[in-house]
Amino acid sequence: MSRQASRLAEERKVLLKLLYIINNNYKESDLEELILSMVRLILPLVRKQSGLYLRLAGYQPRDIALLTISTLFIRNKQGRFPVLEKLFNWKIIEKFMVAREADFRRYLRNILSRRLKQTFYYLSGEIQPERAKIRREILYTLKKLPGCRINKENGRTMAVIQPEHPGRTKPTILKEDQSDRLVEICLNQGLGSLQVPKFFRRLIEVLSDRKSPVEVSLNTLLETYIETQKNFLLSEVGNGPVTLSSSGTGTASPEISDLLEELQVRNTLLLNRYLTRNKIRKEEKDAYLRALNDLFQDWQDGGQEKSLYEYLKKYAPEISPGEYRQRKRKILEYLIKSSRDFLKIRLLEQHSASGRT
Amino acid sequence: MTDRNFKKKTDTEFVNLCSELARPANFRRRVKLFHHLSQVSPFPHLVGFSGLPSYEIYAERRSLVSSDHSFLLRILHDQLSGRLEAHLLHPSEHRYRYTFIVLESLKHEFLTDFRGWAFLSQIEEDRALAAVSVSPPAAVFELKPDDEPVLIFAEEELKECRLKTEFFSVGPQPTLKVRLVNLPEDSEIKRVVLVIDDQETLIAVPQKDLTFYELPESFRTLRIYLYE
Repeated sequence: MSRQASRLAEERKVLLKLLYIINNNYKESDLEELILSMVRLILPLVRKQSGLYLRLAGYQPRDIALLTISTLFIRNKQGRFPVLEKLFNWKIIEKFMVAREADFRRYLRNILSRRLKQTFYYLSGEIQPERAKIRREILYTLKKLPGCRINKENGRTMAVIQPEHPGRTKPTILKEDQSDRLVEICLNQGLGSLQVPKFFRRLIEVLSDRKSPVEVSLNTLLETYIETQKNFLLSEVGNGPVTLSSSGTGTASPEISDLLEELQVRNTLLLNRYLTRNKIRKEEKDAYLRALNDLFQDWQDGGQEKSLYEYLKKYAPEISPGEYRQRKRKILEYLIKSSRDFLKIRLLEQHSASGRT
Repeated sequence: MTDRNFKKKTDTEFVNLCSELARPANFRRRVKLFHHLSQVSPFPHLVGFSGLPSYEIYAERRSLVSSDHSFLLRILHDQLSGRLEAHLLHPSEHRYRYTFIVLESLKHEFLTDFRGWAFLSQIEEDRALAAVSVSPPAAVFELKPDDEPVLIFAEEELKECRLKTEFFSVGPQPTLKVRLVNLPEDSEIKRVVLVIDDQETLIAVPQKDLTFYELPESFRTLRIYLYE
């Protein structure tokens, strides 16, 4: 039997075992086989995803696989598995019983991959990226890439990324506290999930398109890479963000709702960074998120209805107009600009994808 | 050890680890129960008040006791619903609340609720009740939102055990991460049970002393029970 055929057989087995479980008609051996099959299916994903930026510290790939799978097999008092049965409910299983095996395989891989990202996220406080190793990898990649030059300045390693037009435009020197700009570019261009060589090849292409050469320290590039991967991981985690208010997303289409949910996760991350730098107070973070939520709702309902200050003031009444102008406006405007760019790119992507099909 | 033997050993370990998620726990801390020959209940009122005299609702099938007579397990037939119930009694609430009743011949375990009750599924009584043991929690923690877990009960060996908890709220439902710390070297926690507002019960098999629970959107108090 070929490898692909045996893999499909494995997934067929998973489907049948799931059917037994949702019918509450399983034996202990069914459960054991299901768990083993799922762990076997997820192990290659662990190896692949952990290579992104995480070196697994004290965890073996199989620990991560078992941890991920064990969350699906938490029972309630009735002996049922609420998480598993939510992901693979009767409706879903029924659909896949008559669909092609490859379709179920795709769905299963998608679910397992998402659950795996969640595990990485929950362990993010414990698993640290191996900075020295990633740094070496970046340096090696940059040295090989055309349009990239490495300089040593006062003991610091600087990378000059000047594609195509050497000497024409003086590169902008990016200071370390400006790395946010690079992270934003990387996220907006979908560079999350890429391994080091592909990531920097794509980044150079993007900077080349923008005709914006930069000179940046290797440390900043390292942080940019790690931050992008973390943000990407976080945006991929979970089925949606926390519901911030009862207003929800109204009558938005599922695609728009998904995008808005993704956006909320991104904005939460950006605000967390402002929070760690003491640029906003803890209670203000929620106010910003709620204000943005209202604004996005208004965008769907026809457009912005009031001044940005009024959106924010609704949830942070203590902010005076003067304080808003001095300290808050820049943050809110940046969040809105970044959200608008993100939505624009993603909607264009969706549009072109639907045009192709 | 040759490479092939090493691989075989690793594969077996791996299969065993997966099986632990499916199999009933082999609790270290468990108390065997024995059949109590007297069928007359000394505490008829303890079956609970339901508007009808207890003898009309329940028919007592069997009762089992521990060797020191501290545990009393009554197997009752609910005449109204037609199902079998297990009512566990002990002078200490930490011994009958959220305690596993293990039907060893069936390899099946049931968890009691805060009253010490468990609903048994359709079981073949004679075979199922041939060998019964109970496994009470070895430690109990209480956790309130925005607070640290507080130890409210522990067996002597687990007095120093602590929990590190973390909430994540990226998905629609918050997730609770529970890490067991400071466990004695010879201790192995087989089950970690999360009780949400005395309503919902989630039973997890920890991996690497870790468990993750998906919680409802709102809750007041969480209790975490550890079983050895």
